[in-house]
Amino acid sequence: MNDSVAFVEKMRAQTNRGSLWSEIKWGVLDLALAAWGILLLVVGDPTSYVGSRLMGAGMLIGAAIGAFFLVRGAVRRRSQAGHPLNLQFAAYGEADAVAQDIEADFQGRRFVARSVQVGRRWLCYAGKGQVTVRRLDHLVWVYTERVTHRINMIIPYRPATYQLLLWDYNGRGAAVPVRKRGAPPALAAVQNAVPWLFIGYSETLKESWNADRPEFIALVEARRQQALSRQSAS
Amino acid sequence: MALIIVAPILAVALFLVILEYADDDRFVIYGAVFLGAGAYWMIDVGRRMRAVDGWELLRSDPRPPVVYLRPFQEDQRRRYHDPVGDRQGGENAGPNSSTQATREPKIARQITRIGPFVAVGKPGDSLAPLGAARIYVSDDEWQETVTSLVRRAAAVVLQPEASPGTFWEVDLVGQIVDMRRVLLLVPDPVLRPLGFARVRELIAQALSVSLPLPGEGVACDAFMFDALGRPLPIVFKSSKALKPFVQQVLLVNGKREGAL
Repeated sequence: MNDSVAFVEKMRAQTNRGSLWSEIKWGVLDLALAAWGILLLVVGDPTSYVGSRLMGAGMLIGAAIGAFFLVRGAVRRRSQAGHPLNLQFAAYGEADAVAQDIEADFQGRRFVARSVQVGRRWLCYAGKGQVTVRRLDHLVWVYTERVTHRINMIIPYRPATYQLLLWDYNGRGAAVPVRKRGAPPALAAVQNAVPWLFIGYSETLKESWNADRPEFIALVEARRQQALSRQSAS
Repeated sequence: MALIIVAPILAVALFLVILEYADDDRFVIYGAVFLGAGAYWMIDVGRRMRAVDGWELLRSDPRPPVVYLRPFQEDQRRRYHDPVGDRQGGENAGPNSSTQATREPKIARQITRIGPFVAVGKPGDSLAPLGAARIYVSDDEWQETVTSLVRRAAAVVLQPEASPGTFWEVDLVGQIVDMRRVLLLVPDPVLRPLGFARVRELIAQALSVSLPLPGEGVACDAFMFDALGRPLPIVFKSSKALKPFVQQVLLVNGKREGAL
């Protein structure tokens, strides 16, 4: 492995592991569906002979379709153009140039899987089946979102989880999983790198983002210009 | 009318059927939610089907009209519970529920005390929205119709936005309407300071009226104007929020509210 691209390569390796994990997970589910279908076809339900065989055939067809999409997705993810990391890079220009810039930004830093990495220009995350790369100066609003998990929206079945919501000036959002304790330092790191963007959630920010987005983005741009001119003056 | 009466009866009847035959509580819960939503939707459609046509209302009500001027997209604008946009990754935080953003139905009941409340309808509306009665005109005659309506209007409800059509309307109001008869709907300066600032700038240019700065932290939904042209904020908190405006318009138009 070339040392000059160590960070990106490690992120790529993590992305591949994440993809493999998703493929195995969905593959096992698909195989289970196929096995259940075969069982219904072979053994059947003596009380409803035709019904159980029809259901078995339907399950087999579903499993075959699922397998087709799984294989197609796996092949795509392994191609140069379809790799999840390259797809993230593609939003910011030529993949190699983006990779080099990220590498330069995180030079000397260790890549940590399933953890938000904030540099001076880039934010990177690679976890189980998710890879997110965002250029920090493209972001306009960042906050933490608490996700509750409830059955029928009433009964909680596992503790709330947290994720960092990153909105950029194209209206593109990314949700990056974080631990509850990890959210404030991640937000602080983003604010430190790009002090002009809006940090934290409020009804006013939400309404402005939803209803007055051009002004919202223009305001962030004005804050950016102000911060940069202050920086250059000092 | 039939829809409005039948919808809740049908919903209750279907719910009783579910209660009788469903052996899983989830069917009862989801059934109640879906039937409630379905009945609400049918009642809404029924009410919109009953809405009077604007021309017919103007013919049947001899009072000068109250004209509602707004960008057409305001009829469909929704207020979302969560930020809107394409999201990648993470966990789904649930559906992003929304409500209608327009304040038109809220003000309609109070405004009709002045006169028939009318607005130009959006071309292609399958059903008129609730609130002001819609007048449908072709593209080449809408300006003529609006000018004629505004000239004989008892009052104008103006919701300005940065669109060419609304620019023209704001200009028209500035030229021919006494500001005491204008109700200016604005984005809430506390919730939407940026939208309010945009409208404030537009109003300052077109009407030479200076609204308070959005940073002053006072929530409001609309402004009326006193005899000196000073903006007076109105918050749509109660059903009588527009009473001062209604009284002012009736006084300016030489009528007493009780005489109506």
